Amino acid sequence: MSSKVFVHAIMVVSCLATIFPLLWMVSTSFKAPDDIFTPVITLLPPQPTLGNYQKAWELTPLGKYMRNSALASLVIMASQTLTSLLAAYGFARHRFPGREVLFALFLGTMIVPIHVVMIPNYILVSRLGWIDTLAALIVPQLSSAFGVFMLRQHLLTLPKELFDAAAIDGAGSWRALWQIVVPVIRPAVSALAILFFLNAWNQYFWPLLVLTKPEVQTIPLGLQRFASIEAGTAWGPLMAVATAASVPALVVYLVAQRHIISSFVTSGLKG
Amino acid sequence: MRIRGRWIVAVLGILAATLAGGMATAQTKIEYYHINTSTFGGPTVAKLVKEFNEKQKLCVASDKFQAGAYGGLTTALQVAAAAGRPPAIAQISYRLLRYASETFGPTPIDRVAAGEFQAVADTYHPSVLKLGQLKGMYWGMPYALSSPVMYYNPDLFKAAGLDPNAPPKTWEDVVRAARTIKDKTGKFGLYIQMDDTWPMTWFLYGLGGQWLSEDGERAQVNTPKAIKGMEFWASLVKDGLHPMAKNDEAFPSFQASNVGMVFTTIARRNLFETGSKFPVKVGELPGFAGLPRKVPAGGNVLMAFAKDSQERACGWALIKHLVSPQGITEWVKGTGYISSLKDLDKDPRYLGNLFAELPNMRPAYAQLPYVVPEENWPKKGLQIEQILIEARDAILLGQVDAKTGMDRAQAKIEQAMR
Amino acid sequence: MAIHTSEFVVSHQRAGVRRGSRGGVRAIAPYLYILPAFLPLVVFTYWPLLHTVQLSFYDWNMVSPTWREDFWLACWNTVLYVVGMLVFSIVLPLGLAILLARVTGPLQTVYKVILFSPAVISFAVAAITWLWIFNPIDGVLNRTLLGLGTAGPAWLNNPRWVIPAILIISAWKLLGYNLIIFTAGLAGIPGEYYDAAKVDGASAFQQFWCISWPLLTPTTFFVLVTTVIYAGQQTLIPIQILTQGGPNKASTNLVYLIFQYGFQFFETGLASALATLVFLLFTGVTLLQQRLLQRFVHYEL
Repeated sequence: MSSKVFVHAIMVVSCLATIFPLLWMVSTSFKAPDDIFTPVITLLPPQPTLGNYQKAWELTPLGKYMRNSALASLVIMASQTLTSLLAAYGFARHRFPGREVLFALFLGTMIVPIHVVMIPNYILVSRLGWIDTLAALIVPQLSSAFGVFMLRQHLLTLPKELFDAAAIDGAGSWRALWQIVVPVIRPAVSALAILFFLNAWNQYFWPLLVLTKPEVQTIPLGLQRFASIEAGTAWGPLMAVATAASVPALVVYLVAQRHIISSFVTSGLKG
Repeated sequence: MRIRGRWIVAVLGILAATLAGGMATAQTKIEYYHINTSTFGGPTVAKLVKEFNEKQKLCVASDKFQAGAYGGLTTALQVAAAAGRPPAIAQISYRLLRYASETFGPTPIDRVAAGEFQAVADTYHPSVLKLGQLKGMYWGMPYALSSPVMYYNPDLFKAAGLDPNAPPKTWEDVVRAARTIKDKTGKFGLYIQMDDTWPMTWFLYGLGGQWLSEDGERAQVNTPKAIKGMEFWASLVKDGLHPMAKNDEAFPSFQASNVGMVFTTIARRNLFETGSKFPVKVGELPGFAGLPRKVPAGGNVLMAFAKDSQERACGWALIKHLVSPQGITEWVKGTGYISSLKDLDKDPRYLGNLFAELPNMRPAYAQLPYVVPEENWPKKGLQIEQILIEARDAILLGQVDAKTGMDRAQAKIEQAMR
Repeated sequence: MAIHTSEFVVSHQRAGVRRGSRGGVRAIAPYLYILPAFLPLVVFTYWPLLHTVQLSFYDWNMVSPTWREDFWLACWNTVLYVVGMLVFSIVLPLGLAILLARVTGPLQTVYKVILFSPAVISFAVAAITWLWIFNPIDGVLNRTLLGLGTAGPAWLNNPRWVIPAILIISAWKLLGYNLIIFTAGLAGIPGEYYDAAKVDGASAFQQFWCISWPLLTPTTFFVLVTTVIYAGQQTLIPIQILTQGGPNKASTNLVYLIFQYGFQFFETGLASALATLVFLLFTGVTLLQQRLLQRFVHYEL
């Protein structure tokens, strides 16, 4: 019993420490300009206002940002998840010449900082005529080495009896993938898909370069419209945009994470 | 056969005529890179560009906001130039005038303007027009103009027994006031902006020094005057009057009444005024007692990068629209910058009401006669700024004394410029 | 207990060869699986990388003593970031994942969602809210410390505290990711093992040490590699937004140096050379990690 209390105590403390900065973000988004920085720090807005949201809505095409972000993130998520699954299966469950080298090449791409390839990529995308289109954002990220790596690790942990059974049934490798592997590793795939979505949703550097028109821009770029180095940052509207940007991402996580839990149960039965 | 041939000629002729007609009416598309965020002039830029597009038929301009201020804009310019699609015009910081003119191959503005330059130039403050000039060439049309000022908290002044209507006029007075605030209220006395090298220049120019040799080709950052300026700043930190903090830490603390005075650009006036519980007041940038005042200007010029003559003509047409008395009036109201054109603040059609509406703007205009251009580094300016920022950190942190710090910076700058 | 994967793969393949049919398809099938993922990486990572490497050959003669000083400092700081990040981002999420597994009912979901929430928001916003927390003049953290009787440091403005401060922000942001991965890994361990252990009277610690830890090693390996990369790369965002490598270069690292030379000073050649070097360095470290850890990783049962 006391160990239960201990566990909950640690959880509560960790959760408080984790959520504090977020609560501050949300609370600031509802504060009047002269309540943001006061001698006494308050988490509850003394005179709550929607003024910051109104300002953000008037000064930036928030709705368009949201739509663009959603579209791009969903396409990137779907494509990265599928390509990662196929490639991970190829690496983990097949033996072929050049496997180690190819895998190292995959891993290697994770290490390349985006700034290293940004200029050549910009030139390429611009020659293709994709500047100011969502293609410029989506196409370079159709696959993810991170995803391949993560799913490969999961596939390697699967018991080989699974595959022996499939071989006895005479199932080919393609059928084995969809009938045996996918149902079992669904939790990992869902978790990965969420990570992909969130990653795409919060992307900043690359879209900043290739999307210069508000009609095609994504929501993190909207933040910059309130952060002036010269005149100072308009914290209220900035935090309103930030909060608005976080809500869909949080919802996606909330919905998907239920799915993960139910997948855990089914995979547990098969283990 | 022959008839068919004629048909073809006729069709081709019509086609050609249509195409040519299309060419003649085709509008020239140009881009304008700017740094104005939604709460700092962004809507004004959009409005001015829209007006421009509506009042003439030949050019269609689009405004492209670049995040990350002048550094971010320079990055975008670099990338766009590499891809062969530079904007027709862009805002370039005074401090990057030489760098941009030598790196991106702009056309001097008086050449772009052809015969129209002098008429526009005559509307400027003479001291401001010079800000676009480098070695006798006008590289850009001065546009945004800011200057450093002192913001102070009159409530803290009162609490410390100081007169809030008589702000300190010299740096010596500033130190005395800061010490009183610290002793009487326990708060930090002052903070000087720390995101760039601008304040280092305030002190250096205020002490009568300069960063470059007479011919403008050699850096000399370890002169006795430069060292004295840094010693002054370091003494404020050492005495606990000035916190070691970033702009985005110290400015909120000023707004929360935990710092007495801050020294930064007049462009922050609006956010300070609307975001503080106390009535923020502004004073002029102090000088050193007994020495002539010099106030290094901040802001930008509009520079023309278009390679195509049609685009260049459109770029100039847009510049003319932006720097017209009407354009500058909108600009000044939308941003909080100082007017680059003379006498707008005396004309009721334009900015005649400015000081009645915004009394805190008065000091920025009052110190205009002392405005001087900042020196431009002959080359590697961006590295040199970074070296100076690092030297400042080391000196203010007490890692080295001012002389050692500036000597080392000098050695590094010489290496970088080699 | 642990059998290396290759054994299974070999037996699988032998079965294929024995049957003898569809051998050609089988031979190219793995490549077909990999191709869709590989193609975008070739076009948008390796091709530009080659371009970068090519650029990097132009400027080696520009290497000055200043640059060399920056470089070695950045190397050292990168090591600090990586080591610090490993401590923060493995111990913390693994511990929480294990505790989380013992919580049942709706509270588990509540905890999980809250602990994951930092991963949801953009790093730029995260950095800004932490700037307010770390504010040396009147930030929440230093006010709290003062209430506890000690004066806090100037965090982001103190050369000794700036890296720990950035590590705290980065670990906070990464916590949810690693927690999810460890939780998935723990959930993959069949419950029967624990049941058997409980019958044998094993303590909670023994259960962790003899079952969870060895069976989690593929997951841990994954987290280890990604965290090293994360520490090397993603710290760029808080550095760029909060400290610009300062005060006096105290928080710079290799990736920030690339950014600085490439996109602040526009020394493309030098930045490319550095990028190539960093790429090789990290590839080497990753391969080494793989070689060393492979021995301790338990795949299969």
